[in-house]
Amino acid sequence: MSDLGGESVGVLSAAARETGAPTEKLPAGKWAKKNLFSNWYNSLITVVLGALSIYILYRFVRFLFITGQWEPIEVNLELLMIGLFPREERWRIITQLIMTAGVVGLGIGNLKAAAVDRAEETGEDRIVTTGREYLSNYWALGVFVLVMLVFFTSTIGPWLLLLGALAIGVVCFQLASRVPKQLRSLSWGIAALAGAVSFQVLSGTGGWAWFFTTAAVAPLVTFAVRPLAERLPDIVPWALVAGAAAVGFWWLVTDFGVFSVMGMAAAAFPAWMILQGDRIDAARFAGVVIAGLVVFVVYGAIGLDGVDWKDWGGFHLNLVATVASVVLAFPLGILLALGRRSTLPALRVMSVAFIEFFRGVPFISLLLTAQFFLGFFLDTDDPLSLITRAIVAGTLFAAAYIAEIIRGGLQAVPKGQIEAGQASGMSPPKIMRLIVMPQALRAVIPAMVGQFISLFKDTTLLTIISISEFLDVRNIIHSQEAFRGFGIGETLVFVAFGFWAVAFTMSRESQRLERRLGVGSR
Amino acid sequence: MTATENPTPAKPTSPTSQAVRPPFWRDVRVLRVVGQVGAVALIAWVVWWLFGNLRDNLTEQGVPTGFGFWDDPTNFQISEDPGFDAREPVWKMVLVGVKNTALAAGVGIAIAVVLGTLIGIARLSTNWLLSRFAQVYVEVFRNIPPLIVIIFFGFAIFTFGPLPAFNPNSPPIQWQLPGTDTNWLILSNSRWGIPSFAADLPSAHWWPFLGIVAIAAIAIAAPIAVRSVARAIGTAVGIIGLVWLAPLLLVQWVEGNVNTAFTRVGAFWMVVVAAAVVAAGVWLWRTRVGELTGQPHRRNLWALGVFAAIVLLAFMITGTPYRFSWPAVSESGRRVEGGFATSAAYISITVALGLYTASHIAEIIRGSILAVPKGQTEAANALALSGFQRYRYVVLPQAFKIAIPPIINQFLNLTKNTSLGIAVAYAEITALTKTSIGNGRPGPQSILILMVVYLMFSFSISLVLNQVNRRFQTVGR
Repeated sequence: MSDLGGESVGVLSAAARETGAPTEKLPAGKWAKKNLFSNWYNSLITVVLGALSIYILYRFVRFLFITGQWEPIEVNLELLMIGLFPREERWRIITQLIMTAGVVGLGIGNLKAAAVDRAEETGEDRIVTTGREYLSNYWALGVFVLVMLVFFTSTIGPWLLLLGALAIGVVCFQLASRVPKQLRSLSWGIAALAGAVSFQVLSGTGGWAWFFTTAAVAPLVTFAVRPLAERLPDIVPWALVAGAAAVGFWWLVTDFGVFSVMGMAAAAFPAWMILQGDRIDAARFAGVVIAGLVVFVVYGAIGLDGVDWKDWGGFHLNLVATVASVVLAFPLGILLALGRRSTLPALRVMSVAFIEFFRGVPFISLLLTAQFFLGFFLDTDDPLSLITRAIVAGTLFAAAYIAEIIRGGLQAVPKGQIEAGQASGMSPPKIMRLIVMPQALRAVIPAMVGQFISLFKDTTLLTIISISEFLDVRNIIHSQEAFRGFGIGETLVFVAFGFWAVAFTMSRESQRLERRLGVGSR
Repeated sequence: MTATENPTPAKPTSPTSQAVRPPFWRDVRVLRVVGQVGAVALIAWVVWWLFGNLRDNLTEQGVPTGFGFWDDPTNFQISEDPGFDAREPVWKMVLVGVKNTALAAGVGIAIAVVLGTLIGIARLSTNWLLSRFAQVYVEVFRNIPPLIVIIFFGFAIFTFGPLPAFNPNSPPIQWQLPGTDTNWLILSNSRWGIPSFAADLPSAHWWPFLGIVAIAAIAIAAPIAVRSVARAIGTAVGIIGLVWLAPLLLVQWVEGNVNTAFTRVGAFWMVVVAAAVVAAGVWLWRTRVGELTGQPHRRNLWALGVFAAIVLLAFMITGTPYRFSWPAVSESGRRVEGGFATSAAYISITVALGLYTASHIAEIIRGSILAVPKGQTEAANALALSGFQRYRYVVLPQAFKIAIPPIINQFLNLTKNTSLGIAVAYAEITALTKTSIGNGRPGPQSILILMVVYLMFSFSISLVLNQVNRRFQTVGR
């Protein structure tokens, strides 16, 4: 669905741009005659709709500035944004915000640098996004932030925070766009690591932190392992495989369960890759596994404290839960998509069953599962927090949809690409990893953004299992003595505006990406 | 590595014996089997481990692991369904939930399709104001979570709306047929009443509405149907009817309630579904006759006639299980008697989901219209077709062809989104399941049933989708 939806959106925007572009300036009277009063029924529509629009606008403006009772939001803005997050730990969120701004700056800078390089290589003109385009994409988010700052805050702090974050972002952008080409992957690695660290500052080292950090370290490790593996050809890969086997064995001894099997698989996979002749890649993979182990052990040893996400809430939780679910679901989605396209019937059937099951049931039923008995599936005395369980449910749900999106991307890669890989003697996994996957993933970026938006909107459902996310904070507000039954519509409008601003901005960005990547234009 | 001797000898019958099979650990055929067995074993082990834990934990908590609660009394009332008694078994509660889900989904889909199509076309209007209006509509509704839309409509229509309360002190608005005291509409901020065909039995509206969903599917498809699609829809509707109705009727029959009103209503609707399939067949036959002989085929007349005849006959034979009834305020002044009573929650959810999904459908329609080659419009202009004719006979039929698969996907989304009714206390299957778990029913089994119900809905809709996809692919463009 999302892929189809995304596709049609692309067709639209491309076509709309074509038709909408060459507008000559008409004098107002002629323009109105042509566009509003060309014949009798158009005139009728114009008059009726005009009256209706003016009425709606009047009611809306009156609601916003005269009748609206906005005190509940003014008093509870912080509650709406971060829920019941401990107030003395607020610096963690501020740090995360600033670091995230830096990560975003780095990411955009890297993308820009890559685009400049590509333009130089191919000699084509680089598509430059105009300021006007940025404005038309980002105005909603800007308005949301400004409304909060201007109307609902009274101190200078939030302003300084916003300006500081913007400044850091701009500096990081400038730095990243000057990084030479050889160090690009390093730069990406630093960005990913910074993202993981910002998450760490917030959550401490419990829970999934080791996983996110490993994922962030992975690019750095692969970058570092390559020259090593090239210089020490025979021993290193085997040593790393042995290391990975040790990881598996260690898990097997300490905690016999799913993890031990995963550990053994992690050891077996690079061994198989060496048999296939992919030494360097085997070394890279094993290096990542060992890095994961190191991170896991180090985190267990140092035990930095943080705020466990069972205490998170508000708009912040919606954003983090969405990002966490998508990041966790992405690898699973790739595996499922590959499984579904596999020639091995057993893998295909299992992937199809997983995908169709999770696409066929509504998200709420999974959340109810999370609420009532998801913890019972594990053999542990230490129950997972409700938010963790909800994120597991979100991950499984998102993985099924992401799998379908990636499958669409895989199908779109021309067969000649695979044949070219075969002709140059590459192994099937290598063809998949180096030729098919990059093209497929590039093609599905807009649909992935669409999925992200849809999951973001779905995080409102967490309110049904009593997690205090953005929408649910309303219940807290209206149970306060002062605001019982007061300003109910206003808080709802504010929450809706928050979701709308983020979703609208992202959908505009995905349309822009689509045009940039040339996915929609066929 | 050293190439050891192949343990399995090459087939002697093989004519080309020059190829020595590789050692078994590099033999693709062996590896494929081993890999699959390994994968299946791994997954099976993980699943076994997970469910073993579940069983152990449930036993530890003293939660029953069987389905014995299925026949126990429900122990709570359903506000949506005044005829439902708290002593009725859990499985009847599930049926009421399915009915309410289907009811919300069916009407929501109808609203979404009509509104979405209109807005999608309006989006491309040459009238600047109209297209802008449609654009604002789409951008607003598409980017707000449906849950918020539902809550908003609950407020906008009912909590803060102008409608009066429904109690003895404040009677609801009653609109009457001129010159009589028969109501045709009852409006209040908690309940609306409309005239309807009521069955003899109070709490089993669910048969008819499943039937109505099936009929609605045909009604939506019929105007846009090319011949092959009619066949596809006919098949799909037939299968869906059987999937949904047959097991339910079977339960009745096994329990010996053959002659109850319940069974008669069910039998009537099964015949209606069958009649729809037969009518589709007649339509195809008349089309073929028309093509072969050149006689006027009058296929719509024929199909409609056959359908009406069968339905009328079934209505008689099953002993007129329905009679028309007008809504009235009960003596206590708190309930709607007769007619069909809907609640505030139901109207919020159908209207909200209809409007929300309409914004998605509008985008699909617009994209599909833009995807119709420009030459088609130019050809229509060259034939001097009017603007309406151009849309009706040239552009829209081709656009719908492109639009149908993603639109059906939206139907699926809408059906799953009815589970949000839980937020406004609409008694659909998810809300009832949650209440039921709150009343001490075991969670895992209840949610398993809930998921199976949704999978049945999904299966029904994707069946239609697959049929349509297959037909359109073979037509080829």
